Amino acid sequence: MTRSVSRLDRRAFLSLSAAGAATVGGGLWAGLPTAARAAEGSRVSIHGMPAAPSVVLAHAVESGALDGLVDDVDFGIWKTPDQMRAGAISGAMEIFATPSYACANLHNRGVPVRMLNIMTWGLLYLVTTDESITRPEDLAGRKLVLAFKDDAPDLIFRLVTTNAGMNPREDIDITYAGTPMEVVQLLLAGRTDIAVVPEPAATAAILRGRQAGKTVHRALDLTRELGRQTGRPPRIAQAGLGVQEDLVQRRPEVVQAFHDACVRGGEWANNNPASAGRLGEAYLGVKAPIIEKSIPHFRVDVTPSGEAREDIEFYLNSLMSLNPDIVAGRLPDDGYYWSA
Amino acid sequence: MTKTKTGITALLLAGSALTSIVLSTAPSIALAADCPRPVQLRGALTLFPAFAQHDKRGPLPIMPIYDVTRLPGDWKYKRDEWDSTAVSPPLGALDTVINTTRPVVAGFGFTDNGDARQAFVDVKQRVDAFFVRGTGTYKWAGAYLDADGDAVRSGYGRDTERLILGYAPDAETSLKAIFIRDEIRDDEQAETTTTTPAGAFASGADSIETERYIGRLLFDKGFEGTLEALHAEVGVTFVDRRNNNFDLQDGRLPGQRQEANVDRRMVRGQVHGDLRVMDDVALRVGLGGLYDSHDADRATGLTLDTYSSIQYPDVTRYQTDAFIESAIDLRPGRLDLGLRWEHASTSLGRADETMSWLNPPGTRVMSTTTARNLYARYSDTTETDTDLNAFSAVATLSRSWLDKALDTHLTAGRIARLPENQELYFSRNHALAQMRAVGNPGLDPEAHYRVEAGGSYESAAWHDFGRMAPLQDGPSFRVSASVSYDYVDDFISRSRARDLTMIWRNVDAQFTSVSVSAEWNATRTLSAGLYGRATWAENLDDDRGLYGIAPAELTFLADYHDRLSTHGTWNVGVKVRAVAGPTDPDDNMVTGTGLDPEDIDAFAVLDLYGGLQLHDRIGVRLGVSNVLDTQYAELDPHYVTDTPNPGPINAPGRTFFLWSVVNF
Repeated sequence: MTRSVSRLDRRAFLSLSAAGAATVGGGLWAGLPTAARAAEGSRVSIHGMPAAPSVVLAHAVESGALDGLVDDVDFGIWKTPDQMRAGAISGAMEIFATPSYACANLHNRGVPVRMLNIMTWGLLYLVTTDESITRPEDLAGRKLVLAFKDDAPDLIFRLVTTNAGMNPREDIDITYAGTPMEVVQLLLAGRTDIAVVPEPAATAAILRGRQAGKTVHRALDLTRELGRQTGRPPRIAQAGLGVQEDLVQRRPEVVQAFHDACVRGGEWANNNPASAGRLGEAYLGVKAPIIEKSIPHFRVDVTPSGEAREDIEFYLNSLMSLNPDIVAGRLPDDGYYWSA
Repeated sequence: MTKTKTGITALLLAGSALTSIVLSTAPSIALAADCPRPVQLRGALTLFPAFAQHDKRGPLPIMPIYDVTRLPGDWKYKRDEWDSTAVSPPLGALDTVINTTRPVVAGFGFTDNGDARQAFVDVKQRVDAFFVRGTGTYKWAGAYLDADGDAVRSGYGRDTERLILGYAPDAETSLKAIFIRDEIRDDEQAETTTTTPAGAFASGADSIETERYIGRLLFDKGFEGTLEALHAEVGVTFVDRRNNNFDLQDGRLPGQRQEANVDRRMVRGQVHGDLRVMDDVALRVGLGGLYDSHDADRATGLTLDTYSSIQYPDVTRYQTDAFIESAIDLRPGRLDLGLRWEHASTSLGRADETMSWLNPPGTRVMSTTTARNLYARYSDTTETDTDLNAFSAVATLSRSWLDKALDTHLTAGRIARLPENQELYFSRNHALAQMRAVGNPGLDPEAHYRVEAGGSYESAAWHDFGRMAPLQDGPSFRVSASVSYDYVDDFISRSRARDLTMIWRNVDAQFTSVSVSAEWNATRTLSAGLYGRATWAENLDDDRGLYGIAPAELTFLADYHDRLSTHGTWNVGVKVRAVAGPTDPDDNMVTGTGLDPEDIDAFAVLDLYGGLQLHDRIGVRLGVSNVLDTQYAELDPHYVTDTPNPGPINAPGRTFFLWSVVNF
């Protein structure tokens, strides 16, 4: 088997616009051109997100998960959510990392894709240089910065603060930055003392804060906070792999094999965070210690979407309470889910 | 992994490493990636490479405090175990256990041959702006067996501790204090160094006690504006040694008992500033100073109350240096320039103190002399104060080609070196001339006129040995080569007087060196490397080869690694080290110095190793050094005390070893 791959634009990643977007998903999308099927024969294209969960995919690819099943694996890292959506719609990306709600949106709008699995179960954190902040209520009247207005960091943060009895639009002075790394830079530059960022930006803020002589606290785990507020476990079915329906029908054994490899990759990453950090550095250009320290905060647990249906529906329902258009107005049907 | 790096190749690699560190710590990393970075300095001192020909006979270096790619313990008579430039197999599976973000790493290793034991612990912690790291290692070893099953006299005990305290209140400011203590006990020398030529009084010494204390205080501050950074440091080094030939050796008569006590105190300081001028010209301007008090004597007799030698007659040395380094961006190339001026003034406090040689029973003084008399006799000078200057200038032009796949460099310069205390003043008296060694206060600084050219090419799929670049197809390999020529005016060389006394004098010499390497990741799990170097060196005045030049060497590594197993990783590998026999050894003290051991032949040694780690937390590395039990001896073993009797000393035969490492 050969691997036909394309190099990640490191600068694009370092801006972490993509990283943030990868972990939180693309925005709302309208307009669905007909999908064009690019994959033919014994070639399969796999695209990860430019963020740490792609370490799991890198492990799957490097371990030869599809050896003997396909002749060629086209593995790449998408740069922006728009690129991911375009690839999913055109069919050029047969297996692709995606936020669960973004895939649901595509599915509900008729794109023949389904959610293969959930890989990460919550990775959004509030980091601050103010150690007095320990609960959402402490944010009332404060200024904070987050990235991606109306995307997952914003949406989940609004869910948590709303559940805490606040109106986040009015009670909190929120400034939006372009990318999570810009948020980190504002925090380290002293332009703000509170930031909401996904991993690995949260870990980067803490580690780089140490280098800069600043103590950055991981004050709130928004996943845990949402679980506490809703009486559920600290798990948000946030992101995983999407897959083209055509591939599911035509090569189910390939889909199954790659999912199984991701399960092993997830176990490997959780068991060997330092090794995962080194692999991640090579693929993502983020320093290995940041990825290593970040992995325990990613909640990596590769679960078939069919098994995660209850969690996915809870998450999507929660998002729809903020704006139904986030998932195109309804919960996805059975065709959205995949079972091992 | 450790690779052989010499001259400007090492400089370029160090520069790359420095750049990557800067990148990794820059808060505006996105901007750094998007905009061309201003050219960075590579460090003034790295422009002036040191020369192995002047390696000292003394205790082994303190650093690295532990290195699990090599055998547990210190192995003085196996060059690839102590030479920091020697090729070692990769860390492999233990990489993620050793180089961890966890605060504690501990390990223990042992060998069957020589009963070497080594334990280490490394603790680091950062709290707010404060950083602390403590490292300790403890070693013991005894005599080992060579391939013929004969015991080679060896053994020692060694404790080394290091404490680093750091304070970084912001990204631009850091203050760091480093304290090191190193103690070596009962360091037994090989038989060939403790015996003497027929008819002579035995005087070869073991190193009974060596204590080194090092302290450094470093301050760094970054600024905005023309002055970009300021670095200042002060350091002290205290060395106390006691060497003798009777605590660990039997049969010495009172007049044959010799005990040397060495007392050395050094205080160093350096300050330099980094400036950015004319838009994009980096400039470093610095000053340094050294105060060195070096005193050593050698006592004899039953009660050790008679000085037989004043080896370092209370040397006081004041040394200053000033340097300027610049880096100029010549896109797509760069030019690095360095200038350095050094000045030393030295004087003696015990030049006229009497040293007496006793008869073997120790009942009668057979002869007396002084250090000054010895200098007069062998160097034709009675003036012991010196005032020395050395000026160095180096220029390096480097350029990347083929989208940075190919790097080339050309460097040329005059590199001066001041004579050291031993070369100027050593005065070991002995009744037998060939056991005598006398420095030369009239030495001039040596000047190297050196040119080096080299290049390296790496394919797009190359990341490092054992790791292919991700998202890339095609072969994964890296090749490099460099060649240098060095004409040395007034090379400071050991030599022999007519009566065979060891002396130092200036000669003209030339060195030609070639270094090559080729590394290949055949697959994501199988890698191989081939590393070679050769040096030809000649004493032009005497038309003979220079002593102490390591013969040509070729090392082959192959490593199979699995980094993707769910519960851990493992690797296995092989190392073959082939060393040529010396073509022109300086092994005759009548026609040369006799400092190269006789009868050194070519050899090839095969090592096997394997490593396994679980969950990046615990790992073991085990292997066999010298699998085929090859009998061999190095041309240039490391001697911890000065000896006029250089061997040969057989290297260890087949040796099994095991390292275990854990972090938490």
